[in-house]
Amino acid sequence: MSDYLWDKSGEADEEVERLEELLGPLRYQPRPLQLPESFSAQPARSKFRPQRPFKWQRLALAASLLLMLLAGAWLIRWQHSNELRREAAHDHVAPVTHEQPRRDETANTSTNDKPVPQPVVTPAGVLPVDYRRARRASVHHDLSAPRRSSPVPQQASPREVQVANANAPQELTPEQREATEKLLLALRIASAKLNYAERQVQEMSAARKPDIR
Amino acid sequence: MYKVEATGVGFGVIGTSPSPVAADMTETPVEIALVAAVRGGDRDAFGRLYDLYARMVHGILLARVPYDEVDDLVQDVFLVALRKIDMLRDPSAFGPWLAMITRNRAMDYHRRTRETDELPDTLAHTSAPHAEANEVLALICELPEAYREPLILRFVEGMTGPEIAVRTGLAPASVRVNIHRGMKLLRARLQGTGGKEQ
Repeated sequence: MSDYLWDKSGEADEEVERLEELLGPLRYQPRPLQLPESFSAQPARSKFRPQRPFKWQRLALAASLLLMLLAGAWLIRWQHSNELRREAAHDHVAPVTHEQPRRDETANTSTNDKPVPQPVVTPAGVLPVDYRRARRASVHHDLSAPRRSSPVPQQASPREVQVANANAPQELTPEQREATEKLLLALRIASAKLNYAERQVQEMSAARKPDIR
Repeated sequence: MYKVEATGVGFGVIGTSPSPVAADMTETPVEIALVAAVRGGDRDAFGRLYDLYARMVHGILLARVPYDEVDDLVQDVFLVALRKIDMLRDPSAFGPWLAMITRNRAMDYHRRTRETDELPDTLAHTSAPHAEANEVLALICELPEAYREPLILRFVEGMTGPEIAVRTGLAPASVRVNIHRGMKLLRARLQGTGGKEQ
């Protein structure tokens, strides 16, 4: 193969020369390049170069928005954890009793709406009512009510659920329930008799007082 | 302002026979200066680049699209290059970058044409004034793509092998191999023996 085909040096190849002459008319004919009118010396720079400051501004805006979102999420989470911590502290003071005592079961001579503590019956006898514990429980009942100012919805903490389950009444058999009802009836009768006796004593003492004077 | 040296200006003048030795690597610094000038808004600098590379773009397009469409596509390619010249990272690689734009533009042309109309089997247009030249061009366009482009740049555009390598960014050895193998296949087809690629 001759060098003429590669770099037109050396002895010319007839066939190559013939092809050059034959295909020469199809060669590129110079035409003026028609550039758009907007292409000029100085404005072209601003037109063709990417506007980097604008890109940085957009990035900074996106980053600040992301930071604001993260800060908001952290604040909400922090408030929520504070609420839970406060409730846990209350749980530590007194356990939560979620169940309200039923009216019919707690037969009460008082006309107040507030539940009145009932005497505790043991095989050894009737124990006096612990008013302090009852008051504490009622105070805690008020605290456990949903707070108006708190934006976080009130939910029972795991600690509350655990305490409530421990305090929940166990399922009684029909015999046990009957025995309980009989015991309560006896207690009511005894209470009524005691009240009657107390009233009699008060009346007798009131009747004796003028005599004393 | 940038001062552009006059080395290699003769390549941009069509119709003159370029010196075989002139196509060397001295073009690259000129291209760097010209690209920098274009980025600075120098309109004449882009005209110089157009003069230097119009033949290459014309040849690459001629190997892929019909003859009648080539001139308009050459303009399109240079307008695309002007629009994207800020994306060119290495100004010394302007030639290969422009060749890539040209090939992509030819592919776009075929994609758009396929959606509207069927192309003729031969890329050479039959209504061109030189019937015999068109027949030979059609034969070249039937060759494998690797041989098509260097043969057209060599025979149609009159570029030498080293100049083709410098302009397109291809390795001189592969350009040489492709020109010789393509010429062998073309000879066989011109003689009517078929000449299949092995």
